[in-house]
Amino acid sequence: MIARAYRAVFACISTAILGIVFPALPVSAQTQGYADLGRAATGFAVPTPGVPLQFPADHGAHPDYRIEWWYLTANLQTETGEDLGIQWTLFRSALAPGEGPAWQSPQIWMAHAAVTTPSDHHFAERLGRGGTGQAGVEIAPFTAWIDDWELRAPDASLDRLAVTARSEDFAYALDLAADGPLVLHGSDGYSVKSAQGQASYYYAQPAYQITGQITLPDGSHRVSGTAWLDREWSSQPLAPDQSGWDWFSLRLDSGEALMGFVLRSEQGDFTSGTWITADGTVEPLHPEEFQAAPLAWSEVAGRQIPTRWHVTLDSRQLRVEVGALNPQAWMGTSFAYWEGPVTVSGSHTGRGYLEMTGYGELRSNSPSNRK
Amino acid sequence: MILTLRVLLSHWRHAPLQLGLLILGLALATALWSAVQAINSEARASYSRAVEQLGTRDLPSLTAPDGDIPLATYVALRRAGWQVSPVLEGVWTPAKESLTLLGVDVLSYPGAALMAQTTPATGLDPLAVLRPPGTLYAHPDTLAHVLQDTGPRVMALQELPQGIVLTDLSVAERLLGTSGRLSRILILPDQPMGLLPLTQLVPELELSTTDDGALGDPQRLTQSFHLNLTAFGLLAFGVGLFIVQGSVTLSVEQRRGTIHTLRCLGVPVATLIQALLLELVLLALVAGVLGLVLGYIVAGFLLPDVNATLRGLYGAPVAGALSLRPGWVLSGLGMALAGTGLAGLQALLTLKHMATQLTQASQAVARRRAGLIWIWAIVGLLLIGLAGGMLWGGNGLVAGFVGLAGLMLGCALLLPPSLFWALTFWLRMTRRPVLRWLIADSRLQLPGLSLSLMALLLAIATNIGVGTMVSSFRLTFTGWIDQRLAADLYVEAAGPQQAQAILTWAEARGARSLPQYRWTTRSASAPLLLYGVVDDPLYRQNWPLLRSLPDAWDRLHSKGAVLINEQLAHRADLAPGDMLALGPDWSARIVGIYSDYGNPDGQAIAGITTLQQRAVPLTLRRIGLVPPDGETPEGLAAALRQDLALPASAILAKDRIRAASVAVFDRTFVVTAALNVLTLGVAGFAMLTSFLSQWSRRLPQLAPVWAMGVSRRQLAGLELLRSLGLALLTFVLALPLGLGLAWVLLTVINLEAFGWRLPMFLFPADWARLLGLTGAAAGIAALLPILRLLHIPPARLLGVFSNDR
Amino acid sequence: MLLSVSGLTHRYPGQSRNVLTGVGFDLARGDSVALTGESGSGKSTVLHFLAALDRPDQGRILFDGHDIVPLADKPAAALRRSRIALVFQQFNLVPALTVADNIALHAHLGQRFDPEWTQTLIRQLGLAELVTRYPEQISGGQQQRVAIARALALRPDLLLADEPTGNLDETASAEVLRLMFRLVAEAGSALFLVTHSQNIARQCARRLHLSGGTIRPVGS
Repeated sequence: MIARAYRAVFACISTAILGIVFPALPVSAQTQGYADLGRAATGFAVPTPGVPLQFPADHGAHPDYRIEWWYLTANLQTETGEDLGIQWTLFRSALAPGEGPAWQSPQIWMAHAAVTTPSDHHFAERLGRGGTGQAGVEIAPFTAWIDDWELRAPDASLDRLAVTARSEDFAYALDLAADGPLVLHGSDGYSVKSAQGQASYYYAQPAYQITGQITLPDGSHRVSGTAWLDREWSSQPLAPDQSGWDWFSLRLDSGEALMGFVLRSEQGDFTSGTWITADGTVEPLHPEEFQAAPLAWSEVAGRQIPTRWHVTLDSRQLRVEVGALNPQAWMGTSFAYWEGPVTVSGSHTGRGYLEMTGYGELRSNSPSNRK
Repeated sequence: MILTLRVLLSHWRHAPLQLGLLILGLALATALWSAVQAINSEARASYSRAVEQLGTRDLPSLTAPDGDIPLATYVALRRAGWQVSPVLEGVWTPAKESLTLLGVDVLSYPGAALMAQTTPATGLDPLAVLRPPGTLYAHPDTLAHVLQDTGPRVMALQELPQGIVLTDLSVAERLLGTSGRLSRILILPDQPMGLLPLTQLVPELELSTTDDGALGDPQRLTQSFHLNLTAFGLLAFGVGLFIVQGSVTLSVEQRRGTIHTLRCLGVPVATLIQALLLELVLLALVAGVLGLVLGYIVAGFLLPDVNATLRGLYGAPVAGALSLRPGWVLSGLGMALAGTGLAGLQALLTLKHMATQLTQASQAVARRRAGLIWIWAIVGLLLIGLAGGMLWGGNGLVAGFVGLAGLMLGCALLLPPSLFWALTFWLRMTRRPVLRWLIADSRLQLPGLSLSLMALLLAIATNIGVGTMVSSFRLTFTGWIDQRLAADLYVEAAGPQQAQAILTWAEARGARSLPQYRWTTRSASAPLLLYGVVDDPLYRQNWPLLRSLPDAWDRLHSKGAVLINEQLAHRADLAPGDMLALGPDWSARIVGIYSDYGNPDGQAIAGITTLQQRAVPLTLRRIGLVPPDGETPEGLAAALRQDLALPASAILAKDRIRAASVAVFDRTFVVTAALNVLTLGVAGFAMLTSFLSQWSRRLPQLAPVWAMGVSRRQLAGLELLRSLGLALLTFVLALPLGLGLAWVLLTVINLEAFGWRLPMFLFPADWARLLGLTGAAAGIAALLPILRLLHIPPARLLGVFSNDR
Repeated sequence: MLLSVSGLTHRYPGQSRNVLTGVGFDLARGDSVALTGESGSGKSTVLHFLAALDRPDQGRILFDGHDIVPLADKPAAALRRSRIALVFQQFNLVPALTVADNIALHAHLGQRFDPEWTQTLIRQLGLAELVTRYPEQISGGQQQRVAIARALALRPDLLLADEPTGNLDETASAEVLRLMFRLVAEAGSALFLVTHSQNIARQCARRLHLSGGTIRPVGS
């Protein structure tokens, strides 16, 4: 999930400001932004081990931390049996710790929404200023929103949610019901992100049943399936040399689930993850236990991106092939990345989501150049 | 065909002066026209460049008809899914100059990309736009007015119009001291599906595609000015065409023999006409190019003044430099060609006539034309009637200008009949033979001269009209500014604390202070600047009220009433006693209307207590001070400087403000004066060419009189007398037209364009000067024919009597 | 003697031969002289000299005993205004003026306007119906009669006529000449008439012929 952290931070701060406000910014300035994130989080709160998470308060925003997100992905099927996936993410990024009135607030919000079918990929982006009411998160009842996009619960828990988003060419309104307990990653939600010790608070609800309506250019579809919600906040989650990541969230037909990620670096990749048993027991993975290697590449948006992977988790006798439902699931947002539904086959079967960042057109950091 | 053209063209070798005059005349006409066009298109390009580069062009926007838009409304739109971008606009006075501060949400404002481009070069953290103390963007020239120590960083942004400072909303709210309010909401291009309509979501807001904000369409305001310039350009062009008409017709007359010969040699009439047409095209192209060069130079000279006018009068953003546009070149050449064609029409007809009937006396044609005088008179009267109807019943600026054009054209058409009847009447009255001959002869010459006399009439009338308007305006303006500057000293405070300190200081010292609190809001669907004033007798004594209810000032201070400026009264059709909406739950009784020149926008005055009770976000930068009895303004200023450590530039004496304002006013009308003189010059030139073109026809008429014992010197004197007399008569007829023009300009055009009506004053001294100028122009125009007459060898005159002509 | 001309010699600018060489003749009050000659022989030039419209290279023209050759423009104009009248082949009426105004113009200029005499002339010349018309509105014969009326209204000492009927057909020509001779006699003016027609010349008291630059009397 460090991967996500990197992307989110980069997306929120660098994208929102550098990407939208400063689209013509040269690469050097972007690396400057990146380097900025590698420094100590001056003034921001820093995750500390041993502090238990408190709900429902921790479902809400943590403005003293630099970055935070509410990240929902779902694997769905239409009534005619066609596979598709959706993404709904709300990011928060703080220019300075704390809150301020209206426009004076240092909090900046961004959201991405997407629908991916085997043949099409629709996505949209929203930006908003904290303090004005255009975007934010409330605890009771739980509501996370930007503009008219909402993730809303009838109460203060995350057990039942309704999610909506719409853009020029797609819209969805879906209802979610949790099928298990919250999962705290790492050590009771304190999740280490690099060998150097960067960390975040990280928990998830990986087991939602989801149904609802999706509107695409060809018409409206009733859908149902499973969904996975991630919650994470931090202030300085990245090691300076980390350049991109590959993140997997896989729900297996056996009832088990796997979250694993590879953080690519010139000093060697860092991998981590969590194994969730069918009864919801959480088992953190040791570093390097989770392994993923590209099998096939696709040309997406002018760059080469691995869209079939060989994933192994020897301790669970897991040897699977993870393939993209639609290799062209490119998020051409201010900060671009690949994110889409995948299918799992091999020793286990199932479905899930894959997110990949850092595959620039230069390919200097692409996996094919790695050992 | 080519041969015919060569034969025709060979004429010019013997008449280089005439050729020069012809080309110069056409070039002058093209020059004035294209100069005005260059200036106009430059200004328009400036306006659209600004909005285009900021990406807000053609974006529809939402405004509240009265007052600001609450932030909650913006959020509600966002929560309903509408992709919109907020804008807060306000007047910000960091130093002496007031600037328009534009606060935008850099995350959604289309122009934010432009702001970003300037940032990397400076090496600053890009997030500084959003992080306190923020970043201000302004045109490099405007940056000079922004004190570098105002807090936020400042960045040059070439694409911004002058006088505008762009920044993030957070910074704008801090600098303007407001919160939770927006001036307007831009609607972004791409919207999600299934939105509720705006009329349902925000019925209280108005949707418009023409943005009336600081970056809005300045053409809305400056339209009248450009229309004015265009009218002037067109007038000059028309006058120039009279020159061309005279010269070309003359050249055909002179080539009568050549044409006769060519006809006898078997050249068909069609070929002759084609050759003449080709000649005209050649002349038009040569003169057109020359005129474009001249026009470019003239425009370059006038542009700084025009820009000063536009900025001073309307605050419109105009950049300095002139650029060459292909469209401009083409339209200039097109005008030259079309104009030459039009002006050459008579020559072509003459040629056709001449080529078919070589012997007919030209006097017959002239007298037949004189018989059409009734038609001229009727058409002229009809036009004047139509113009009157247009001015009386019409609405808007275009109707005003069309009415004006009709009036002027109608009067111009009336000129030849009027002159004809005046001469006829005079002929009846006089017995002196030479005079009788002169009058009768002038009358016969009228058709040939009438076009240039019409040009002269228009030029004189324009001079009188525009001159009267400017002088009346100036007189009113200077009187008005004396009234408006009620206090002796004006102090600019650097911030609210300093303003408060000045007020406290003044009270302690026994000086009366007149603080000018202000609030920028909206009313009647347009921007409104609301001033809050204290109850001071100076206002009651001095403030220039045009109309008011009894006890206006008492009701202002005790009953929450307001005074509004004339612009607002005209635009919103408000009168004393009406209500002015200042917000959804706030209407104020209008108790008076005051004159307010040099400002295009609506303005109102309310009692400060009323505004404080309403808790509107007031800013206070300027404070008027009246020294206590026994203290001079200078003394008070010195003490103020010393006690509060104010910079000398922050304290302005009444006289200095007055002088500066009048200077701005004068600079504003420099262009008008220049165009005035140019138009008159061109009209004089037109007279010269028409006198010259008459010349060749005059000899057979002068020779018999000379033979009867009127010496050449006498004849020359009579020629001068004729020229002066016609000019004088034209002047006499132009005077009422000019005054009518001034009246229309002052009461119709000004009202429509600016929203203020000006009293009309008469300036007989100016008329005398203009009469002198007209006489000089007529004298100079007659000079060349007179000199020729004085030095004509008798043999030339005798040639008239020659039996074998 | 009203007019005494002697030694007139003249050469047009740019020409190698004299047009006139030592021309001389006399003209008494009430007398009438016709000058004939080929086209270009210089007849009109002689007439222009007599009217002080132009001046010869050499020679004297005594008008009432005063030499008019050296006269400046102004006194020459004054002389024509009051004492000499001209009638041309082209009529040379003032187009701006009506027939009546044209007739009165010269007499007015010379301050010798006599309404009765003018009325007589108008009547005699048959112009009474035409006085309010403009020159181009009447026929050539009528125009020439107006020109004659204009000239005689002055009661000039000397009437100079240059091919007065050159533009008229024979009938009109005869009529105009008949009237002119009668009225010249009535006005008591001397007549100097330039023509190429011997027919017309014969109606004068004396005839002179100009040829090769010199003058000789004819048929006396």
